[in-house]
Amino acid sequence: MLGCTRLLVQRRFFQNLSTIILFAVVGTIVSTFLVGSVIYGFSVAGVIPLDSSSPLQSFLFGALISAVDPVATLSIMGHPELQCDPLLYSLVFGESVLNDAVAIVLFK
Amino acid sequence: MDLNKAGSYFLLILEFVGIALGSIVVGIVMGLLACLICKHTHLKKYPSKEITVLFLFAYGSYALGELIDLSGIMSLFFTGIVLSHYNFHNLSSITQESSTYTFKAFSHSTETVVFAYMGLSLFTSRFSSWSGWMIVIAILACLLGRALNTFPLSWLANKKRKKKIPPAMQFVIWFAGLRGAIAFALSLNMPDFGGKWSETNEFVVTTTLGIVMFTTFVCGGLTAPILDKFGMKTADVDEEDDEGEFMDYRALYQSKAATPAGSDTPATPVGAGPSGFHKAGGLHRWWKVMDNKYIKPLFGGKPKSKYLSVPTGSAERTGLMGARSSGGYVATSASSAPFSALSADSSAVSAGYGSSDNRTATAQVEYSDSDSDGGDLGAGSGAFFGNEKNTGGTSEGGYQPPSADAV
Repeated sequence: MLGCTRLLVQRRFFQNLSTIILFAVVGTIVSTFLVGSVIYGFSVAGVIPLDSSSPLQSFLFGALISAVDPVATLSIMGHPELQCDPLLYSLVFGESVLNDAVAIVLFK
Repeated sequence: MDLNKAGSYFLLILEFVGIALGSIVVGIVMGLLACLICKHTHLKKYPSKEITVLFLFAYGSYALGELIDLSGIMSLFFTGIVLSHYNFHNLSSITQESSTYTFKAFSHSTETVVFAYMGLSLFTSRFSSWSGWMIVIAILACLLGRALNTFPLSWLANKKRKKKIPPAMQFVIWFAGLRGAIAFALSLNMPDFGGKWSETNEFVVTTTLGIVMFTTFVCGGLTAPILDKFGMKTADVDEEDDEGEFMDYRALYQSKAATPAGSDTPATPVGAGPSGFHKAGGLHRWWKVMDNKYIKPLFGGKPKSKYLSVPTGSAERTGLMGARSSGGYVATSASSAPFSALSADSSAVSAGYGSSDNRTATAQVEYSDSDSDGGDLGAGSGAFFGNEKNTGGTSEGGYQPPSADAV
C-alpha cells in the first residue's frame, strides 16, 4: 500500500525490545478481545447493527481497530517540532510496527 | 477459522510466531542482500543508482513479505534496521546525505497521500450506512481497551526495566494510540462470509473511518499540548543529528548503570558513549561482539573498537579486502570466555586504539598468524595493558587469521 516510509530506523528500538513486544503482542490481543466483546455485547443488545448471531464479525472489527498505525504515529510523533521523548517515541512506534503482524494474524 | 475450537488458539499463536519470524527473516535477508551488493560492487560511484537499489530493496522486502502472506511492514522495518545498521557505511557520502532526505521526502509524501485518500474516501465513497452509536461505543471501547493494556503492561514492564516508564509517559502512550490507514485498509478487506455480512460490513468500514478521524484529529491534535504539559519533550533533540541523538539517548538510558571509573570516553570518538553502556545482559554483549567481529566486516559498517577482540584495524582491513570466509572465526564463537575478557577491558582497548577510523595507527599492527588471544594483538599496538589474560584469556584455538580471498 505504501512503500518505504521508514528507512531511517531507530536503533533504540532494540533497547526496548522486550517492552515493545509486550505492548504489541499482549496489548493488541487484550485490546482485540476487549473491543470485540464490547462490540458484540452491544450488537446482541441491538444497539449496533453488526452480525449478532456470531461474535466473529465483532472480533474481526476488534482486531482491525486494535492495531496502532505506524504511519499515523510516525507523522504525529516523529514531527521534529514536537520534540518527542525518544523513549516514548520508540515505544509507540515500535509497538505500532509489531502490531501489524499481530493484527494480520488475528484478522485471519 | 473456528474460534470455538480450543486447539485453534494454539494454532493462532503458532501462526503469529511463524508470521513474525518469517517477516523478520525476509526483512533481514533482503537487507543483507542489499548490503552485499552495495559493499562488494562499485556501486559507490553511482549515487543515484545506489538510492535506487536501496529503494528497490526496501520495496522488494515489503512486496515479498506481502506476497508470501507475511507482514510486509514488519519485513520492511527489519530491512530498514539492517540497512541503517550495516549498509549506511557502505554508501558513498553523497548517498548518505541525499538518501536521508530522499526517503524523508518520500515518507512525507506517502503519508500525505494516505491521509488524503482516507479523507477523500470519507466523502466520495458514498457510504450509506453510518451508525453513530457504533462509532461512539467503538471509540470508548478502543480507549478502554488501550487503557487496560497500557497501564498494567507498563507496570509489568517497569518491574524489569532499568529506566522506568513514568506514569505521565504511560498516559501519553495510552493517548497516542492512533489508528490509521492500516485499519482502514483491513476494514475494506473484511471477508463477507458468504454474503452474510455484505450489509453489516459497511458499518465496519464507516466506524473504522470514524475512529481514524477521531484518533487523528482529537488524539493526534492533542498530543503536542499533552507532551508539553507533561514535560515529555526532550530539551536538546536535533532531529538531523542522528548519531548525536542516539548518544544522548544512550546516556539517558544507561544513566543509572554504573559507569566504570576507567571509562575514558575521549579516547573513543567512534565507539562513542560511556563504556559502561553495555553492561546490560550477557546476550546483548555477546551479540555486540559477534556483530562487530564477524558481521560488520562482511556486510559493512564501522566496527567499534570496544567490541573487538581483534584489533579494529584488522577487522577493517578484512572488511576492506572483502574476506568472505568467516569460517575460521566461527570456532571462536563457541567459547564465550574471550568475549567477557574483551568487554571487561573495553576501555583499555579503546584507549589503545583511539579511533577505529585511524587507519595509520591500526595499519601498523602486525597481524601475526600465531595470535592466541586479544592480549597479544593489543600488545602489538604498544598501548595496551593486556590484563585480560587473567580474566578469561583462554586461547582461541580455532582462530584463524583472515584468509583474504579478495573479491
